[in-house]
Amino acid sequence: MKVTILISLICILYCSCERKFEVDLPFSADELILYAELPINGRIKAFLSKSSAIDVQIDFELDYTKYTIVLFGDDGVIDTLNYEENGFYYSEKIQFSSTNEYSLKVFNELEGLVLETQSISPLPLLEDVLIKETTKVVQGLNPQYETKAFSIEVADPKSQLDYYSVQITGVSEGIESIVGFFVIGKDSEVRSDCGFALPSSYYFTDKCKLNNSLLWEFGVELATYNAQLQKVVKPEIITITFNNIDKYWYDYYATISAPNFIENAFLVPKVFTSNFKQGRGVWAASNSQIQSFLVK
Amino acid sequence: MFRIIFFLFLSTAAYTQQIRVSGFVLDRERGESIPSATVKNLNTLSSVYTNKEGYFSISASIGESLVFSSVGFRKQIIVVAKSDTYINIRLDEAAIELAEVEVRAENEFKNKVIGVSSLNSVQIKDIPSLFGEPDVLKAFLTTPGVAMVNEISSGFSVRGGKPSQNLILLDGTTVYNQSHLFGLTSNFNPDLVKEAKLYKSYFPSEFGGRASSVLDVTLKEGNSSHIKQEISIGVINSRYLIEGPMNRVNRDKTTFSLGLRSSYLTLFLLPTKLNARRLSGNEYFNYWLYDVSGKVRHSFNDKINLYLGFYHGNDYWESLTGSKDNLSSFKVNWGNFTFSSRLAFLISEKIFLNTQASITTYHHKINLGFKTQDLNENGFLVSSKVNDLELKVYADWYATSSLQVKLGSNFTRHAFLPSTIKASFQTGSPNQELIANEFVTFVSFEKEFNKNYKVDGGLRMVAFDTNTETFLQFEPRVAFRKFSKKNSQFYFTYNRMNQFIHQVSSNSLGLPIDIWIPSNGVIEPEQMDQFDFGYIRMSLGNFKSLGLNVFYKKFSNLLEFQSGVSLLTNLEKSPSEFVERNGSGNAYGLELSTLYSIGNLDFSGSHTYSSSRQQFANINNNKWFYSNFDRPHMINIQANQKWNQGQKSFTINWVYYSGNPISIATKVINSYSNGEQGVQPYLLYAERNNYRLPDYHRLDISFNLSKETRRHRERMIRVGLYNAYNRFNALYVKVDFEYNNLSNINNKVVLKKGAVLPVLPFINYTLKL
Repeated sequence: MKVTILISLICILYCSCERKFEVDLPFSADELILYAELPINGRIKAFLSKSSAIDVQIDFELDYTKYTIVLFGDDGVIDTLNYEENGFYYSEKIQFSSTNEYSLKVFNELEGLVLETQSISPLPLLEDVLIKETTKVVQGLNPQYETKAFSIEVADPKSQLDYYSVQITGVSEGIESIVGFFVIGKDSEVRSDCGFALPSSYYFTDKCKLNNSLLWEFGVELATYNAQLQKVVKPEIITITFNNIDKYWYDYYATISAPNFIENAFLVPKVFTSNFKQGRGVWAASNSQIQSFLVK
Repeated sequence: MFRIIFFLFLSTAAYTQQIRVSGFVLDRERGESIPSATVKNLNTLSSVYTNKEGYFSISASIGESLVFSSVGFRKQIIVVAKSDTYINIRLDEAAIELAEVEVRAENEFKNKVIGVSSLNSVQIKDIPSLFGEPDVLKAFLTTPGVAMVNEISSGFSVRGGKPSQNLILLDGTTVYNQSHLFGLTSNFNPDLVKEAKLYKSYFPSEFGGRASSVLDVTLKEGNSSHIKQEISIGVINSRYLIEGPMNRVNRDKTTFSLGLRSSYLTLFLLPTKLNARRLSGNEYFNYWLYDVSGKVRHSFNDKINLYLGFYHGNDYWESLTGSKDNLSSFKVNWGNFTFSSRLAFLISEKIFLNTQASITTYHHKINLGFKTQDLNENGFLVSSKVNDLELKVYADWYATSSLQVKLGSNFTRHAFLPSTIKASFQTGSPNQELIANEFVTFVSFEKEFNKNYKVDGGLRMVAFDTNTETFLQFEPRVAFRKFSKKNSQFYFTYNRMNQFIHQVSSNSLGLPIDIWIPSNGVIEPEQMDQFDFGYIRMSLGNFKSLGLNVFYKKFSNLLEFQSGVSLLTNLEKSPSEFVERNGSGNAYGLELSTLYSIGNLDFSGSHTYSSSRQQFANINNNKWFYSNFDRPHMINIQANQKWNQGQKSFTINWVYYSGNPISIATKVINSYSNGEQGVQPYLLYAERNNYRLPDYHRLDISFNLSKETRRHRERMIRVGLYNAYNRFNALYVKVDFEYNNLSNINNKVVLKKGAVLPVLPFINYTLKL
């Protein structure tokens, strides 16, 4: 009898006692979300959508015929962006001045001004950027995959920039997919490794120095997921897109890549910040340098 | 009539000869000293309290009466004789002391320190607890202003402060991590605890280094009468205690105590481990905790004592998943080791000197490994360590009957290894060991004026030196008390505390994924200023005490873990990267407490109304937000009934906390990356701590029965219910995705509350051999 009681008690204690029940959420109205990029030279690209409530069917759709996005400069209206498709709006090709400031306003035909960004300046285009494959041996986390080493060097003396991003895509059998995405910022530069990878299913080893110039060395696992074949395959071409970005993009990427709910439910999440006067989203500057490599 | 009075006055004056009476107050049965015992002159109504070694020194006139009292002991009264300049008083233990609650109330009323709560081993065991495991830290959750972090954490928040802002001392040595079993229980063996004191209002100058509270735990030295053994069998673990004299002839000379504790889940799970290693397709989980602690007291003579104490404890958690060909393992181990050596000298009747050397270490290791089909093994081992070496010297000077001074110095060498990683893959360069030296000098005094006023004051000077920076801070402390004839007092305290070492943690669980780092050129010391104003009333009918106080705390240079960064996946990085600095904070509140007694039925109750907020430049867009430990209302009600000279007792304990703030996503938005719409939706966290979990409340019941066995041994059975009315208290909010099977994309995001501890019966059996 005593043994039975003891075993019963142990069973009670060590079975999972977790029980879940619904959260009574406070009402939160949908709001407009705008992501827009300001290049130094070219077309502004803006992506407009709306938020969706928790606990209901996700719905980001808007009636885009009712929304207009207008570009403002120091001297007033510069351009009205054209709607193309899937929430994307584009401006005309414009030569922006790095000494001027630009903002966007979104108007609704019924409510008028519904969203307004802060004013920002474009970033100067970097001139002395060298993206190359190196012979450095990279020990990958997963030995199943071959790795290749690359370096990015920015020696542009004009560059007083603090934030960069790199996107790596792989092409296999004509299908392009993202291998990885890095962001590097002066705030995170404490020691030799200073980036984080996204998506987290692919691993990198990276080293960088970020003082007046940038030297960034990293390894890439030659593995991309081919959706048609439904398996991971070796890419035939690796494309590296290097961006100099401003703090607004950097903060945004740091926010969306934060493991807000991955590690455990007790992790303190990162609050989404917007550089908007009204509404929510990101209006930030970036410039790109692109280099492709054939994989042997 | 006038002549008679005049004659009496003259005769009293002639008879009055002030002498100083000093000595030790001891437990008659155990031979141990009794700290914090009250020594009261019944004629002058002046009183003093024994120090940690049970020493007291009081002025009295020949013929006056002194009463000695302490909770759990019978009072003893002596009449001072001419020869009574040095006396040792031995108090008898009381199985049940009818006036226990009065003594407790009296101690709290005129205690040596304002706002201190003290508990001994018996009181700790009286409080119902999870799994029936008596727990020192959880016992203090009945104190007003003290809140649990969450149900499964042994951390506690004092007046809105963080758990890492509590200084936890074991025999004067810092304990860095107080968690066993992820925090479900603490690492102090309750059988060995002689006294535990929690300071939250006035902090004597000898204490410092944390910005919120001090918990000072003293272990038993062992009784000097005979060898005693005690076995306790509980649901989670079992304990064994042995104590007694080391020499049968000269029993008072050297005594010892030794406590062992171990969980036994690992024994039940051993077959599954063997199965998992040999066969394929099995999952395995194991957990083992143990601790060993003890103390030795050696008396060279009446006036010189040597105390040696130690603690060693570890937790191991291991899990295996996958098949034999593709196996992943996860192992976590953490533990503390402390050792202290203290020499206590009674130099003269007025001076008591202590010298102490101690070491403390804390470590954690996290090992993640993968073994694949081609037998390649990969993985990493992350570890973190803290090593402290401390030398301390301090003296109590009983200057006059109304003035007591304490002064001392201590030097601590801290060595931190925040995190180091060994991996089968390339990683960043490992963190270097960080060395910090801390030098402290302090002075404090207690001065009584006209029996109606008492001032406690002190100054603590701290020099904290690292390779990059030296900090010099002064910490003034003061407590002013005014006693009135109606057994009441008003008090006011002001304290400044600095914290030079900081805990970096990415979660609020008792997980050992915590890193300690010192202040440096980048991280300033956290600072707290606290004001406390209160009123205490004693003996109001059946109300043995009533207390009311308000406090205000101001924090500066607060640290907070950066939002959204996972410490677990960034362990090789410098901890400075994870913290937001230079935060501000404040906490204020109102605390009410009472002790009520009818016969053998005692009630205690408390209610705290408080608020705790913080502000950081890079958190919550620089807006003030409620801290994780903000609990507007905290209520604790306890009732204890004893029968048969305390052989039977019944305790119920009800707690209520307002829900603590957490951050939850309020919306889902499209993500955007490198010019393209993101594949996965993103949860929008608009504000820090924007949601409050539902209120927490719980009723615990326990029944204790002591009986003598046929072999005349004492046995005790404790049975009870934790969370008796099965309240599912929410512990966390979890994000769940509901997928659309057709498109394989997230269709809906739902949030769910999780609770872990339903009604849990417990049983605990103790046998004294």
